[in-house]
Amino acid sequence: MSATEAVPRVAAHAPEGGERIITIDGLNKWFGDFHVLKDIDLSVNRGEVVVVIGPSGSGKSTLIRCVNRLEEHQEGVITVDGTPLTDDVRNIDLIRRETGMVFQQFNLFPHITVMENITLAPIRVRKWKKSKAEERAMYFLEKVGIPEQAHKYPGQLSGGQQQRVAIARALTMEPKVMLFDEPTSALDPEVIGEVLQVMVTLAKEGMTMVVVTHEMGFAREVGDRVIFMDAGQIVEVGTPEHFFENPQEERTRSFLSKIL
Amino acid sequence: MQMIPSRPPPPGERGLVAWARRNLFSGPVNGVTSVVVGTLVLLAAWNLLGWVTGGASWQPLWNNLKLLAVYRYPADLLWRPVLAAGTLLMLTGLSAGLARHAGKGRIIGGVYWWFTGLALALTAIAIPFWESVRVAWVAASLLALGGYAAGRLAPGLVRIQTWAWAVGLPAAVVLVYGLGGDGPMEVVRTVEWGGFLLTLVLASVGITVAFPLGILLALGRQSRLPAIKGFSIGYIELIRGAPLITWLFIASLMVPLLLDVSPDSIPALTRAMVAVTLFASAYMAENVRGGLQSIPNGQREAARALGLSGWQTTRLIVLPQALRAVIPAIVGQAIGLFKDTSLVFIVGLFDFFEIGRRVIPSQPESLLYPGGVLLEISLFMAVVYWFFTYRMSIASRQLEKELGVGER
Repeated sequence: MSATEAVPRVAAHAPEGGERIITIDGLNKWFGDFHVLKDIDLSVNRGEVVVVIGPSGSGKSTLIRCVNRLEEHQEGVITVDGTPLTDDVRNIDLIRRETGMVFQQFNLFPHITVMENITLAPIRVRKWKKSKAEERAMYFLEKVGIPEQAHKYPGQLSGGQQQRVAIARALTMEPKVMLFDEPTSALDPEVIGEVLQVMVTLAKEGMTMVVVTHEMGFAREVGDRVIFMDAGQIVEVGTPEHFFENPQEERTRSFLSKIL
Repeated sequence: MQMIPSRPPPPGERGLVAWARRNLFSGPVNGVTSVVVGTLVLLAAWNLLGWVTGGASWQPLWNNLKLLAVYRYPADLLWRPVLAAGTLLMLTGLSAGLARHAGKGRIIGGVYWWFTGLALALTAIAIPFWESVRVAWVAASLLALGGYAAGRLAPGLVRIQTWAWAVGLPAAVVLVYGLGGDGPMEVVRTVEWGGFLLTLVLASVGITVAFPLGILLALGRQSRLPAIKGFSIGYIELIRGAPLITWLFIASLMVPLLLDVSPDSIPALTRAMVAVTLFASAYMAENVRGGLQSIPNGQREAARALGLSGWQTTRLIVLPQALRAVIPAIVGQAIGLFKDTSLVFIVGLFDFFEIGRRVIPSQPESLLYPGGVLLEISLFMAVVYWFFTYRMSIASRQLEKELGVGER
C-alpha cells in the first residue's frame, strides 16, 4: 500500500444515545521514527465494555496507555469524562484520578503491605481519612475474594492473588473507567480464571472497561464491542458475535484463526 | 495412590567431622593446604599472644589514652564529652527500650548494647584509674542504662521520643562545644579537638549530611531539566575525578582564597568537614543511582496511574525501594568514610590516627623503648576501628534482612 493511497479510516465510535466517557479523535503517536498509532478514532460510553485485540506490536497497549498519559501522543485529541488530555498537569492528574489501570505485570509495590498498596492513593490523592480508606479497601478486597491477605506483602501472594489486589487497588480509588492492559498474560493458566471471574463481575455491575486481552471467552461473555487492531490502526470493529461468526477483514480472520 | 513419606537424610551428613571432611579435607590438595595454613595461623596467633603479653610495651599507650581520645581538649572539662556520649547512649537506649517493648528493635538494641558495653567497660576502668572522669563515666553509664529502662518500663514515652532526640542531640553538641563564659560550659574551640572525638565528629557529620545530598544529586542526575541534570553530572564526575586528599587540600587552601578571607577565619575542622561531606555526597549519589536504576519502570507507572504526583511517586514508591536495595553499598561507604577521616592530618588536624601514628611515637618517653611503640599503638587503633566498623557491618546485615520481608 503506497503512502499516497487514501486509506479508509475505521472509526470505533460508541453507539449514539449513550453518555460518552472517553473520546479519541485522530490520535497519532510515534516512538522515534516508528509510527505506532495511526489515525485512531474511538469512543466509549459509560458502562460499556470494550475489548481490544490484535497481534503483539499492533499498538493496543500503547493506545490505552495514551488514555491516562503513561504515553504521550503527538497528534489528536483525547477527552476523558469531559476533561481534555493536554500538557496541563492538573488535567492529567484529574484524568488519572478517574481512570484505574491494571497492568500485565501487576506492578504492586513490594515494600508495603497489600492494605498499604490499596490505601496509599486514596489517602494521598483523594485525601481520605485512613479509616475510610481501609474500610473501602476491605470492601474491595472482599469483592476480589482475598480479604485475608490484607496484611501480607505482595511477594507472599500468588500471581492470581497479586493481580486481584491490583484490581482492588485501582477500584478503591473509585474510578469512572478501568483500563486493563493484558491482565492475564503473565499468569499461570490455573489462576487466569480467578482474575477473569473478578473482571466479569465488574463488567456485569456496569463498570466502564477498556480491556486489552487475548481472552476471547471474556470478550464473548461481557464484551459490548470488540476492536481489532493491527500495525497501529483499527482494522475492524463489531460485536463479539460479529467477530466470532462473521469477521469481514482478511487480517482479522487470519488473526482469529491463530488464537481461537 | 499412596504418597511416599519423607525420610531423614542418610547419616554422616552433619556434625563437626562431616563438616571438616567436606570443607577442609575434601581431597589431597585441600587436605595439605588445610594442614599447612592451619599450622601457620596457629603459629602466628601463638607469637602474637606472646608479644602482646610479654614483649610489647603498653605503658606509653596507657599514658596517652586521653590524647588518643580527645587530643588537647581541656582535662578539667573532659566530663563534657563523656556526658555527651552518655546522652547519645541514653537516647539510643530509650529508642531501643521502646522498640523492645513493642517486640521489635533487634537492630537498634544490638547497637545500644554494643556501645553501652563499651561505656560500662570504660566506667569500670575509670573508677580506679581516671580520677578526672570517674564521676562523669558513672553518670554516663547511668544515663545509658536509665534510657533503656525508661523505654522498657514506660511505653508512654513513645510520644516524646522524637522530642527527646530533638533536644538531646543538640544538647550533646553543646556539651562538647560549650556555651560560652568562663564557667564549666566555656567554649572549647575546635582547634583543641582531636583524637577519636574528632574522627567521630567528622565521620558522623560527613555521613549524615552526605546522605540527603547524595539522594538529591542522584535524583538530579535523572532529572529531565537539563540544568539540574548537567549540574549533578558535572559535580559527581568532578568530585570523583580526584582523591579525597586533593579535596582536603583544596578546601583548606583554596576556599579561603575564593572567599577572600584569611585562612584562620574558617576553622580547619570546618574546612575538613566540608571537603569530607562534599566528597562523600558524590559517591553516595552514585550508590543511590544504582538503586534508582534497579526499580522497574512499572513501579513508577503504577504510582502515576493511581494519580500520585511525581514527587510522591519518588518519595513513597521509588526511593524506599531504591535505598533498601543499596544498603550494603551505603554502609560500605560509611565504613570507608569512617576510616578515610584519617587523611585529615593533611590539613593540620590531629585525628585518632594521626595521634597514634605520629604524636605518641615521637614523644621522648616513647623513644626510650627499643623499636618504639608504633606497633603497639597501631594494634590498638586497629582494634578500635574494628570495634566501630564491625558493628556498622552487623547492623547493615540485620537491616537488609529485616527490610527484605516480602521482597519479591
